[in-house]
Amino acid sequence: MTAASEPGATVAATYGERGQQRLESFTYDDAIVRLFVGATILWGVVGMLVGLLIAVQMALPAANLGMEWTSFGRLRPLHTNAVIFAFAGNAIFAAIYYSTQRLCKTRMFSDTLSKLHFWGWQLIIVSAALTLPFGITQGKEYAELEWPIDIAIAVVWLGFFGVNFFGTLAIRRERHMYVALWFYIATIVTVTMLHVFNSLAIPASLTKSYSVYAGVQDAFMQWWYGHNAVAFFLTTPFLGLMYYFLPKAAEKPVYSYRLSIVHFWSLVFIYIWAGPHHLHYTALPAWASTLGMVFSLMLWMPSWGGMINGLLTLRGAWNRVAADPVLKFFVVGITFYGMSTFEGPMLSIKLVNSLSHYTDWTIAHVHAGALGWNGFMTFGMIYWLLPRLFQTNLWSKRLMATHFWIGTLGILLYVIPIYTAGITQGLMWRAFDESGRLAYPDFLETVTRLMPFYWMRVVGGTLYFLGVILLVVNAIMTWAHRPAKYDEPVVTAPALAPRYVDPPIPESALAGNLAVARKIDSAIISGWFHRVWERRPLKFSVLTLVAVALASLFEIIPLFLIGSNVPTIASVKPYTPLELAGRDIYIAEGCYNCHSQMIRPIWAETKRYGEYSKPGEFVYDHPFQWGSRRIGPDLAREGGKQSTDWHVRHFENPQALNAQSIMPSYAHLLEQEIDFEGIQRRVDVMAMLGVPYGEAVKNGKAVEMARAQARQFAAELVAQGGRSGMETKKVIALVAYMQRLGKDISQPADAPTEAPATTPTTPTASPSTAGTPVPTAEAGAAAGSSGATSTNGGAR
Amino acid sequence: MSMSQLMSFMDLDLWPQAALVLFFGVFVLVTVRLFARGQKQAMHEAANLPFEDGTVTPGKGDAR
Repeated sequence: MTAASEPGATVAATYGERGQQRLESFTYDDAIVRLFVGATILWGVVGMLVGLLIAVQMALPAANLGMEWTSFGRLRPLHTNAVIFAFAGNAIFAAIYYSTQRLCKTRMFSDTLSKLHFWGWQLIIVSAALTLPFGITQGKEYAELEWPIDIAIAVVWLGFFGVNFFGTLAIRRERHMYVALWFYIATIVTVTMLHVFNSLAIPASLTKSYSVYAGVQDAFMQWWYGHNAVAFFLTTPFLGLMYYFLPKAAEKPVYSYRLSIVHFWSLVFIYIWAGPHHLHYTALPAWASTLGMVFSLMLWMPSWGGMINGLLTLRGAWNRVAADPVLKFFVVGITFYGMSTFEGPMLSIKLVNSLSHYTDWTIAHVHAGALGWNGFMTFGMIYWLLPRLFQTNLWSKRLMATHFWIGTLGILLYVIPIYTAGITQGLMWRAFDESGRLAYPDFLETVTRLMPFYWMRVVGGTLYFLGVILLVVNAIMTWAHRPAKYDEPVVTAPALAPRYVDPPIPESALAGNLAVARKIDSAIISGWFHRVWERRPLKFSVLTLVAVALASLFEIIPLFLIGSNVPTIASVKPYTPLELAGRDIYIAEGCYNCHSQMIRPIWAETKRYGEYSKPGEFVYDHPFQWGSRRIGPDLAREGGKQSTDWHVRHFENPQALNAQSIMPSYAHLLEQEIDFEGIQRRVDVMAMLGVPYGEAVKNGKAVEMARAQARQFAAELVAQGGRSGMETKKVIALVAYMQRLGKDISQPADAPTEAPATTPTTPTASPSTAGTPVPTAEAGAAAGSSGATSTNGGAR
Repeated sequence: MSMSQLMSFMDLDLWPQAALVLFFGVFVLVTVRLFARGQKQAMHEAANLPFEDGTVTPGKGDAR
């Protein structure tokens, strides 16, 4: 920072800046903004291309390319991580670095930290691209990255970015923090909290760790994180972007600064409670999901307040919107913000959610927000920044306008068919015929019906992607026309005085009241208290943290610490070492991206899949695998429904058993060896997390048990007429896990009280005999358990 | 006795009410901030902050 100085005037007022204010000269660091803008465009192309590829895979399974690394389950996390953290992430960093310097009238606190932040973040993105396709994942949506990368994220986010940002606030030359900065503060503080607490895990190796939470608690933490990642990564920083760049582009101040204050505090305070709406009708306690729904509904009004504030900023400037594609991008972006924030609360209503959950409706909702709000706000900002950053005219305004129109068309062609697909599938799942049987008992029927919509999505996605390519061309050509040397304007602004004296509390207009009433009137009702906060970044940040942390604790503490939330089921035992290895393969292949493991207590579901899922069934599930979308059927009660041979054949070539199946082939699992030696360490870590593994933690015991069970499964496979020589192959471990799924509650409890389980269940019962559930009292009204074995045959 | 059992014995009936009071308190503070009188000038100044980038003079230029 250049801090040339000349003596300025001494402020003589009794309050405000006290002491000498020197006039200082400095320059803004636009080089770092150029880097972030470039990275935004680059990762946008990569992330959306992967998205397009997996969209094609849904309609044309051959697009899996026959390779394990390019299957849907591995690429879908890569797509979501790339577009959220790489594309949107770099976009918000570009916005924050550009606007914070100007709103604070200072260069960033440290150029070194800026560079460390930029390169550190790109390194994290590259590590994601180098791990996710190889099945290195924690198996929690939007938080898939393994523990070493998680630590790097925390360091780069808080250590580099956070310190740099708050350092900049500390050296600012503008006393009042503009509302955009509040949104940035909330983003940094809350994302740190969410990331750290959701990612807590115990490593079993450099590339494998287990979440410290299990089952219901893990699901809660995951969606507390997942929902607030939407709130504090895809909403609040973009609102900061909107509050800065929209007035700049429109050359008009925001319509109502008052409204922006309400918008800020209501979002910060309300959003954080809403996460459980992702878990309606699951094994999450009903009080938590109701709380999530109510707070989600409350979000509608402040969100629309923000949308209206954005749109009304353009009052009297609509003629300019017609002429300027930058404003067009912003208008459509803000409109999609309004649509998504109406739809979100609507989908959180339990009745609506019972239809929409697990269907493409969620996917359409997400993409309306991501393509419309995040994408278009980013594009608008980039087009506004390009001529300023590269100090030349935008290469082609016409190309920018074309991008706007094909992008808009692309969004519509994407979301409308996918809404239709979602509602269609939801209705088909719950349809009964006149005799009270499922109208579409074959799950596959509800998938093939969607194919036309999936093709339409491919067309919409392609158009949107082509728009991005036009941005790439425009950006490169604008960059090519940059001056030989960038002009670096010198900016002058008075430094903040060493001391600032807050204005006195205004006199109360009340008369004849108690002194305390007059004090409340003057300090609080006049808004004096808040104006003081707005000048104090540290206090402001602490209050924001208090708001999000307090709200979180009100939900988290009761959920974690009240035993009755997760009633123990005596017959539920830990996975055997082999099943655990199989579960890890399930996670690595990303099966949870297409299959849920959560049967809701809804008649159509228990009829189709079997007895509804109980909280106590998941106490050893580190991490939970409930899923959020059923591209294939639910697997919560899969154990025993099919023979071992069926599973092996199905993994090898799903289309051989169900010609229309869109599941990729997992033939590589029939070739690759189980890492038996690594199993001991994994069992030990599970035991550390409180899973009662008993004898299995003895050195080498888990490996021995896993080999024995694998031999049993392999022998049974041969007996069923299947392949031989499979006893060391990964597919055996995965099938062992599949055959275990959901069976424990129908097993007799071998202990009368809570399960102390000194030894893990061993596969003494032949895997194939377990297909006949033995209902117990614990299984409760096992109305659907007979359906578990009969209604879903061959449905994949 | 585990923490979970201990918590189960605790009477947490007050929590919903406490959360309600907390929420209502924030709501009141935000409303008050919103309708506070005599801040037209302050609001106007704050809203115009994006247009104050400091006094800009063309620089010498630096290598790219």
